[in-house]
Amino acid sequence: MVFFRMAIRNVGRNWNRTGMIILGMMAASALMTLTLAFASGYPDVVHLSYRRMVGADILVYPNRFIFSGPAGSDVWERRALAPDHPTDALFFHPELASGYLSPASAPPPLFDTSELPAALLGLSGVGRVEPARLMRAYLVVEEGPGREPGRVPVIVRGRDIELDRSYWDIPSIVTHGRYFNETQEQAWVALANSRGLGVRLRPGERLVLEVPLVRGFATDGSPVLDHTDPRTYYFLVYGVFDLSLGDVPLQGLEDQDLVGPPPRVSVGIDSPEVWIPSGTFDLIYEEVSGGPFRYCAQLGVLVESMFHAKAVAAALAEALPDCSVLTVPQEVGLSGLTYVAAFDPSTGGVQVTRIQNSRPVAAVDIKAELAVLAFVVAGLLVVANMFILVSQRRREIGILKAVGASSRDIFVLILTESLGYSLVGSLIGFTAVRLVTLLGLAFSSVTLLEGALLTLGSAALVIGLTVGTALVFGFVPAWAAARTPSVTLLSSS
Amino acid sequence: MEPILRAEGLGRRFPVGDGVWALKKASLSVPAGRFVLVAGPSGCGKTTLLNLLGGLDRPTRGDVELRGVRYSTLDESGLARLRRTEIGFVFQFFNLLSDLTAEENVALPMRMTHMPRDEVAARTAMLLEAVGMSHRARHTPYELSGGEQQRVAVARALANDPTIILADEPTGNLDSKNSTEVMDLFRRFNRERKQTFVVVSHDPAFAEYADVVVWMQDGEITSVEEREGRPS
Ligand SMILES: Nc1ncnc2c1ncn2[C@@H]1O[C@H](COP(=O)(O)OP(=O)(O)OP(=O)(O)O)[C@@H](O)[C@H]1O
Ligand SMILES: [Mg+2]
Repeated sequence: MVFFRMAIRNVGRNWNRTGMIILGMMAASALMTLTLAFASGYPDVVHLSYRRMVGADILVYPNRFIFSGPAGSDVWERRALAPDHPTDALFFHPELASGYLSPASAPPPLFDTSELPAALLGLSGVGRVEPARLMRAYLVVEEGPGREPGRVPVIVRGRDIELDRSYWDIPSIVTHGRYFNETQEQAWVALANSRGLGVRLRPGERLVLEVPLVRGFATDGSPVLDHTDPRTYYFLVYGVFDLSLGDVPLQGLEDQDLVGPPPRVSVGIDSPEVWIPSGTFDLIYEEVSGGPFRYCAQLGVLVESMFHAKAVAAALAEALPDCSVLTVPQEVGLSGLTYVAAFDPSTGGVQVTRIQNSRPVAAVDIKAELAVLAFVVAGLLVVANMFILVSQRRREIGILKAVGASSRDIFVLILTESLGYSLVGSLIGFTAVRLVTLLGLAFSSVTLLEGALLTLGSAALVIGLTVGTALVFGFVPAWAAARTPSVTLLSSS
Repeated sequence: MEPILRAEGLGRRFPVGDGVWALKKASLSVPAGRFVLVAGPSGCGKTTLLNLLGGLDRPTRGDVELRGVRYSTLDESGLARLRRTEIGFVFQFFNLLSDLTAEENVALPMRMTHMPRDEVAARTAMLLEAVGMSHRARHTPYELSGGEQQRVAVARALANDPTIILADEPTGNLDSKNSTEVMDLFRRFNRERKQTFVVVSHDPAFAEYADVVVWMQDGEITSVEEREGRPS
């Protein structure tokens, strides 16, 4: 007990000695926290882009990520969306149609959301399962200045606002007007892609959708639509979004006597989509089909971190062999993506290439192996600290033994100090790093609760690991010092 | 008088090279209340002998007996308990814990026993008073002079009212004034409280005062000089 109390006081005393050790523990746990943060894609300074636009029947993704194709550089072209394609992923990422990311070639299976596969829900690490709410409809173009009346096939997407707010980098998507908020569930507001509809809508305008009735479902769950008697719904255009890759310098025009800087071409993603609050989506769906939204072509599976994503994806692929399961590659970057648009004189088209040319500013591509490595390094740091702690104090231990401390007392003393240093150090280290990432969180839209839960989880892991390592590896030098005779310890100064 | 401390055929060999017998064969009896001085040339084995007597080190052969308890019968924690309660050490380099204040250093051996807190405090104050260090109770070793540190160390050695105090060159690192002060302390505790001392020292002042002078050479005790008629 005396030694326990003495150890506790030693931790707080003599900061120029204990400071270094605590600093070491801090560094170790900071490293672990940082690793965890990146491994779960946590730092929110990192913006994410097209999460749900990736095509696969089941999408497994960590809390955050940035998507890129299988190679560092990939190519896609502007292309019309196949009207019967339930997801827009292939449109944005045609490379998904081949290679390891390819969706099932057969007609995409529809998931019955009212009875999701038990295999899916039972997996450990699976958080939420989100069906993608998609519905076919027609946008009625009304007579107006410079506008021909007509009907444009569109895809209506019911957006989960809470999810969108946490996963989409909304401000960079919506460029005109506003984005709806939680209170607008079931409100008749809509966001329209400014590029995909063939008609320019403006915020404040009326948007008319004609939704065909659902006469039933085919055996695979696909809706049988009756186009002869559509229902009409009126929306307020709340915002016009613009999925844009930005202005890209146009190449391949060298032979055309250019004056001045090379021209730039604005590269947008022109999917004919109308987004409405998912509550509104459900209302409409119920009206046209007589039942709640049930069958969907794409599921999002939320997992806690990338560690889980890999395992969950593997398990899902095994459990649901008919589905293509895509784990979004774990790539976290701040910048470094460049788009190049090349003019092709033979076809007159423009081909856009995405190049990952510069290293992202905070480029981290944390693989599980790398994370483990970081943890090992952190562990070694703790171990080194423990040896320093003991070797620095051989003389002190010698004195204690001379005045009557037994080996056990010394052992208790050192282990308790280890506990103290590692606890204090890891707490500070964790908090410091976490504060920074939480600060990033404040600018994002992850709910406070979600952030808090994640924080608690990684706190337990980081502090537990640091303290555990310190104790396990404090054991050896503590034991050695405790066993050494007092004379030997005293003669070493 | 029945000896309080006895060493029989004590030898210590260090496993360096072919082995060094730092102490070859030493037998010694110390009756209670005596002041024993161990003297001899450098490297003759004085420190080695003292460490064995104090249970800081284990002998290669022979045994030590303190108040009838043979060290060879004690395990590590038994020996630690013996050091804690029966033996007080005073070292040449004071060996105070630098993180603790003077009073905490003195209190340390008592706190290792089950002595109640207030008793520890009272006894600490009494001991610091006895060595004339009350005014420096809250100072850490760095804030004390060598002589002051050694006086605190003496108080610590006396903390649990040990059977015997072992001191290895207690004045070896002190100037003559401080040496005299520390020596006077030893003398006082020996005379007034009948505290038994075994002191290794080159200081002729101790020789003048000791009851018994043990002469050593080459790892052996060459003579034991009783001084019956010493002045008191
Ligand atoms: N740990 C050890 N390992 C090897 N040899 C040792 C060890 N300790 C002491 N010796 C040797 O044993 C002999 C006696 O040493 P000791 O320290 O007992 O002498 P001493 O009489 O105290 O000398 P001094 O007066 O210089 O302090 C010396 O030759 C010394 O080199
Ligand atoms: Mg010596």
